[in-house]
Amino acid sequence: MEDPFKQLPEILNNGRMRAITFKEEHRQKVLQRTRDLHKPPAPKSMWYHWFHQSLSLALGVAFIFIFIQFAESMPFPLKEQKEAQSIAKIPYVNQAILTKARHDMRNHHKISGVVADQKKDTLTVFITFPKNLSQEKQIFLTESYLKEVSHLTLNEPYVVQKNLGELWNYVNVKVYTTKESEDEMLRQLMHVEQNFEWKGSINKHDGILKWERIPGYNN
Amino acid sequence: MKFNREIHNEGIDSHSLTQEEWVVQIMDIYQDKVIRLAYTYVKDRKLAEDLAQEVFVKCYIHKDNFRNDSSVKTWVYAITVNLCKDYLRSGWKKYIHVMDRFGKSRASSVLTPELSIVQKSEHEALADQVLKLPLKYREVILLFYYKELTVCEISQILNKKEATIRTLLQRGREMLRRKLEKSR
Repeated sequence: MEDPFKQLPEILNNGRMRAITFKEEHRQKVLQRTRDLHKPPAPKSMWYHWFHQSLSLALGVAFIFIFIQFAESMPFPLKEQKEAQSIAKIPYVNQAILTKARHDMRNHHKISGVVADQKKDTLTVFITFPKNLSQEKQIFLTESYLKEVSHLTLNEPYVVQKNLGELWNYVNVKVYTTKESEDEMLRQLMHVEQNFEWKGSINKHDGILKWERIPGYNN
Repeated sequence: MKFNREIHNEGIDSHSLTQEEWVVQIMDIYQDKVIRLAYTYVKDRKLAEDLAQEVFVKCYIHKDNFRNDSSVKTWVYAITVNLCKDYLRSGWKKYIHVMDRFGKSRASSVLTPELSIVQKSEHEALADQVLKLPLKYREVILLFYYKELTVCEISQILNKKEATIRTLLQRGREMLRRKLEKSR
């Protein structure tokens, strides 16, 4: 019996493949394409060059612009960002406030000297009281001073102030106090450094003024 | 005339001809064979025409790569097969294929105009079943029976071992027989 598959050429060529032929137009297309392969590329018009260069320039500028925008919008590293945020949150007690508070203390309470300065989140205060002032009075005046500084810095009314003021929830305080010595004039003339007797401190996390006697104090 | 040229080592003397004349000769001999072979892969006349043109342009470009250790016929067929497979693998073809299948699934009982006109004879049924075979069997069956190439030539064209070709041929034949018996 004859293998039916051997009739495949006849079946296909006389059947569905009959109409599938490579026509003259296809031959011409092939020849045209082969000729085109040897043609030098057509010279580009001036418009093409102008357009190309303009587009390159525009893209370059756009890229630089986007890069700058991107670089500007880049956040700081997290640590620096947190530090910057915390610094921004800390109220700053400026010299005008400190001067006003010092004048009030000296004028109304006859305090001999008040020197204060804030660095980062810590305010350091040095107070010299008159020599005959009691310890309780010294503490009271120190607290009055701190209340006034808080009041002036945050514009908080005295009546709503809790404890020594809202400021001390954000700023640490170190208060060094002493009484005026017998030979104050001599000390000042000889530029001898003042010895302080008490150190009061407020940690902004607990907000309580704690006192301790400075060891080695001698009057 | 063409037949004689083909018999005598395809009658193509690549040294004495210009590149264009060489391509013209290649087209003279193989144009219908190539387009029909391409059709068996893509089953679309327009596509087969485009692919056939592409084959001859490729022949022109890669003429220098032709080595005399194979015949011009196997070289041209190999280019055709590779181009068709490249096309079938391409993303665009896959997209078209999916769309085509989608369309067919909606109207699966509708025959193409060509098929609906002709009442299928046994021969037509055979041709149909051959073209419906999976590609790996279809190409071997068609190259062997339709293009009448030897197993050795097919192995050169498809870049497979002769034993593999024989196995594919055997399995293809069995699959085809089963399908033909079913359709009766």
